[in-house]
Amino acid sequence: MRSMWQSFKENRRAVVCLWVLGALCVSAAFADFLTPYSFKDEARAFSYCPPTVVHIMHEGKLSRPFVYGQRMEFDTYHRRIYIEDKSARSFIKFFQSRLFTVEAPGRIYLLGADGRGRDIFSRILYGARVSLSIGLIGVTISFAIGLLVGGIAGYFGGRMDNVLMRLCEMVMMVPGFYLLLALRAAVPDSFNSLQVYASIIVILSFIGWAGLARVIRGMCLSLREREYVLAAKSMGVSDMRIIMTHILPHTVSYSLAALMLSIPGYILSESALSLIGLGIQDPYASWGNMLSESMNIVRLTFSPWILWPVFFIFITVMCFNVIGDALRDAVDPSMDQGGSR
Amino acid sequence: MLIETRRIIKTFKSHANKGLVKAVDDVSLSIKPQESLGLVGESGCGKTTLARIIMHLVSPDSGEVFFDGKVVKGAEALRLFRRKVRMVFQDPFSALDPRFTIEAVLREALVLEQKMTCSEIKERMARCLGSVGLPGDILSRYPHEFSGGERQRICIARALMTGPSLLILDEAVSSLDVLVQQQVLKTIDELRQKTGLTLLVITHNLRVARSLCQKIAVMKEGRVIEYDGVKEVFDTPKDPYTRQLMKAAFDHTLAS
Ligand SMILES: Nc1ncnc2c1ncn2[C@@H]1O[C@H](COP(=O)(O)OP(=O)(O)OP(=O)(O)O)[C@@H](O)[C@H]1O
Ligand SMILES: [Mg+2]
Repeated sequence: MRSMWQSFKENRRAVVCLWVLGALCVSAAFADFLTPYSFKDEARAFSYCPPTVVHIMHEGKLSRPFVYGQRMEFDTYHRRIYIEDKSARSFIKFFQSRLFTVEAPGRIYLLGADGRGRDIFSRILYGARVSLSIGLIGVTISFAIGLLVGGIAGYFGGRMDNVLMRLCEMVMMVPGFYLLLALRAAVPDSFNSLQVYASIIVILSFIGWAGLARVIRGMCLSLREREYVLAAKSMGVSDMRIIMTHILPHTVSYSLAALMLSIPGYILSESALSLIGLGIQDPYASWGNMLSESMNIVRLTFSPWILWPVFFIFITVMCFNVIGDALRDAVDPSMDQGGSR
Repeated sequence: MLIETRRIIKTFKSHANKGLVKAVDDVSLSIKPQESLGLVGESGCGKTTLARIIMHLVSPDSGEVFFDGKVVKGAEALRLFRRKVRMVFQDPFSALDPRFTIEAVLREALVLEQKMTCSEIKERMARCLGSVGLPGDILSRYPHEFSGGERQRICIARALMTGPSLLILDEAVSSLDVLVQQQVLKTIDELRQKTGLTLLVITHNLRVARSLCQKIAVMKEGRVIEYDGVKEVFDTPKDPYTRQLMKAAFDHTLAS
């Protein structure tokens, strides 16, 4: 394990990605503090307000950071445009229960506002909670199932193997997204947001375990032939304990890499589900449902900042992929291919 | 009889010639308490398979294994059997989990023991390591830090943890060089004299068998073709194959 970590550390790109993801997770965890507004804080007068500029110069003099008021007008095509109102200044206040806020009546939109005047920056951080946690929890559950099923199938072989692998194939046979939709349709309408959130996790884990189980099973088929497995058996160690201590730990470096590489799938599935309105429901934010506004092409051309969630999805997916690749390269073969000779 | 096999048959499907391989063919052997039996034969003659059947790791197609005169039946009997019969496996390099420290390896051997206090376990570990000539301070190290001979001794120490009455040694010294071989053989012989251990020594090396055993069984293609006391087998081998084996083992023209 140690040498795996060491060769991972030599991959600079992966380490940077790890830091980026770490920062994202911490920001999501402290979203309440880091954001100026709550995810449901609406201001209809600022509908699709573009990103606000923070000024520190006023009439040629240095000043505390502040934002100008926004005056809404219509241009020649009757489109809403916002013009800075130099007469109204609102100062930015720091560390007042939130990291930064702005004095009323001004509003600060670092990344712009959505249709109901909600701050996109705030909603992205709150949405990161949902999107990242669905990815991480979903992947954990489905890996637990995948490891267990693969381990049991590979270790016992025979009938057990046959039954479990046919089950895997049944899950894998149906194209993922349609299975996702079908399962989502089975969730009752009466569920509240938390229940929907939980059921999405369950559905995603249900789809994800089969692929891993198959690979783990293949590895276990060869691992169970090792003499230390026979030795443990001959000493009366129970089958379950052998799987847990002698079989699965040897797949850990592979599964860790596979785990990282499959998280993006969960995040993207959640986004897709929320994008078409079947996932996390308004007013709760997720990167997917924030994008549903951008399905309107006209909207998109006039206020391109509503695409910001795409950037975050992209960064997150890329980071997980880079880390997964680095882990796969760092897998130490001497530990898992029968010990060093 | 401490252990007895009666008409054991085991066949494997062979992928090579689409047929069946008779790995063990109608083998009946028995070992008295405190006696040592040597099982000799060329590579692939079914020695390991027979040992695994005796260990109840592989079930035979037909035939029975008796322990203390009884067939091992039911969970309780199997637990007793597993505590009393231990095996040292053929390959010292894959018989130890590379992720386990020596302490974890030895502790695992005690899964079936009644509750033991920490100090009892520690003391038992030190005693078993000592009896195979290893220092007691290696507990926190990993298998890859040891040489083949040391690993083999760790395996023997592990087998001794529960104080077994029968020890099966599957080619326990074949992978070692001659000097280490001598040391390990000496260790085993001392143990046998001290504790009255019964041994089943599996080897393709007739000298090893002669130095440790009172009786010898020669196997060829799954069958036992010669089964007698050491003296008889070495002085008056009945089967031509045995003669051939002995000639090979004690013929120095090739070696020198
Ligand atoms: N799991 C198995 N599946 C198929 N064939 C097997 C299996 N195990 C053993 N065999 C076959 O059974 C025969 C006896 O094998 P075994 O391992 O018992 O030989 P051995 O006497 O221990 O040889 P060696 O001295 O090389 O260890 C061989 O021909 C082998 O190919
Ligand atoms: Mg063998």
